[in-house]
Amino acid sequence: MPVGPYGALLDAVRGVRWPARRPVTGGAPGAHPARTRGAAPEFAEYRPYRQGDDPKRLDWKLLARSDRAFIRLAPDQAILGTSFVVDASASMAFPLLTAGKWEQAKRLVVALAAVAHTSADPVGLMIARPNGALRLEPRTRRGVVGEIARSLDRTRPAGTALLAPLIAGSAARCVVLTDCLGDFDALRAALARHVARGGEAHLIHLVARAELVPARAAALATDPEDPTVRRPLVDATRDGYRERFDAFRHEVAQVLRADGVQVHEVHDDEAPEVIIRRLVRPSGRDGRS
Amino acid sequence: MSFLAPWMLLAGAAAALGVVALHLLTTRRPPPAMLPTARFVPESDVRAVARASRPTDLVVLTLRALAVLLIGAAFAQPVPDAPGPRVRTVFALDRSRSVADTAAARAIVAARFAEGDTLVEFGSGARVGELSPMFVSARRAAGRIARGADSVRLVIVSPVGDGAVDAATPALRAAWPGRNELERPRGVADTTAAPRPGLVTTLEDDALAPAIARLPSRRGAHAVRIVRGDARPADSAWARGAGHVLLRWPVAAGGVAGPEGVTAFGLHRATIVAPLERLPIPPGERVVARWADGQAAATERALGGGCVRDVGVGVPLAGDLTLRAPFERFLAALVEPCGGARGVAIADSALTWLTAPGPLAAGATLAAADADRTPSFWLLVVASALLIGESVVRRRPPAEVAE
Repeated sequence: MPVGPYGALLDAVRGVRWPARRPVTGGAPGAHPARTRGAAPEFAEYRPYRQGDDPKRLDWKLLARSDRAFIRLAPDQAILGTSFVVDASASMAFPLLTAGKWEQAKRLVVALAAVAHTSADPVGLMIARPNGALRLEPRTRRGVVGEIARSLDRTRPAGTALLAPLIAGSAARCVVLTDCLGDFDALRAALARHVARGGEAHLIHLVARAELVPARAAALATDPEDPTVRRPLVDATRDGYRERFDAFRHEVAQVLRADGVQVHEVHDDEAPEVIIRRLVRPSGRDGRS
Repeated sequence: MSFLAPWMLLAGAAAALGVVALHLLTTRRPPPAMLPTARFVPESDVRAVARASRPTDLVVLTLRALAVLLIGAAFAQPVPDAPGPRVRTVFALDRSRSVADTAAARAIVAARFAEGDTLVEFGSGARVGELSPMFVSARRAAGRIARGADSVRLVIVSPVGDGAVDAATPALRAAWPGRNELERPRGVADTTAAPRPGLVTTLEDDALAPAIARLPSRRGAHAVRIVRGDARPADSAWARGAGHVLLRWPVAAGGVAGPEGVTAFGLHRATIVAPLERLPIPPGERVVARWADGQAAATERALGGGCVRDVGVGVPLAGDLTLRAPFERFLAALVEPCGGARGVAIADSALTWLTAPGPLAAGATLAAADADRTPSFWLLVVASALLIGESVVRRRPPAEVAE
């Protein structure tokens, strides 16, 4: 699998499993618990025989002993399609020198795709770009992770991109990587609809360390996606900025978790393998990872 | 170079440092920087106060600091140090006719005059040297020599004749910040003393008689005769005598129009305001009295060794005008010797206030009061020029800011 610079990361996450947060809708056999009951050797429960059931699944010994027709049920497992929706707007290329948020997003997508693909889940990619989205439909074939990596490497964040329209075309597990500085309200509504349809939604909120703790030097802060937003970031406004940004991040996590979305805030200077293990860990009922 | 208010130098230096500090804390527009979360920065003026490690606008800063320093130096009142003794003297020399021996008066000054001293002359050509203008001139001269001097002494060389002191003199004396010294050269002889005038009149009850009787009679060098009406040849012959004064004073004809004012210019001015009658008088060589409108009321012309005075002031025959003090002074001015009386020296006991003891005037006080402070003036001129230059430089269009 030609994965280029991601080799070390993929080695670090080898063996990691990413179970579904809840039973998935039945489908092709896979690694995730399914809502359906199948005919596996492992016994789960009995169910009264109904007309149309396969007679092979009757428990004949029970029928002989009690003269009651029951069918043996066993837990079923299915695959879980995973789509990654990546924000490639200009704000993701921050800090300017390292493009830390974008680079972190790329690493997380490739690593998570590899983890999901290891479980035989189909993985796909959608990149929100100003000149139209790039779509890679979820596939299970070999090489799909490399294809995702190459698509990401060819992309340069720029302009303004809309994420919400892409959510409707996502697979059952939708993973959005964004800094939430674009069409957040529409994105939130789209994710809420996805969860309501029975899907699983993850939002990875990418935050640069330089956004959390801006440089001490006075600067006229300018929004790369809206040059009309120019405000002095000086000693007098620094505390206010931190308070408002902290409140924004807190609100993002709160409202999305209320909608059933798994929210993970990651920073550009965190080790991706650590983030991956934190992301795949089963979460509490509030969606906090 | 010394400063009368050196603390203003420190104030100017502090103000200049303040200017530099303000340049370091100047309000400026910080450099732009990309920040995706810029929307969370509280809205405020895009120009913000920022500290700079080095001041900008060095030309403007230099002009401002220099202007402030120069203003502080100007208010510190620099005074160039003048060579010479620490105690200097202003000599005020009386040049009036009241000085009997001008050479002696000059000798007094010459004997004490030293380097750094100055001489002020007053009353030149006048009957008496008046002290009020003398004090003004002395104060001005003292301001010029007071720079660099510890003390300034004022020496008045004057006989201080009667009339030298007027109502303003005590106040001007009090304004001099120190004691005075008074050197009194010999004054001219007293010519005011005269025997009581003789009155030649045809009236039985002449109104002038009581006034003449009230005049003091002292031994003097001149005699006065008052003739009511036309003078007789004998009167004219008498007037030719040395020091004789003949007053031809007609009797009023009774044509009084209303109150009139008339002033006699004698040793003391004397003015009366009363229902007087204007009588015609011939033109003379010297006007002795004038009406309020400037017309001559009494004239004098020389005659032999004496003189004749024609008085055109018709005194009413009835009333108490001639019994009043103003008329007595008016009459005394009219009977002065030919050419006018010479002053009477004021007694030393009456001039104690003029030479009251005390310290000498401080040089700094007099220098500070001097209006001609050339260094301060020019410092302010230069500071103004710098501020004008600063305004021009500040209004230049700013350079393009690269973002």
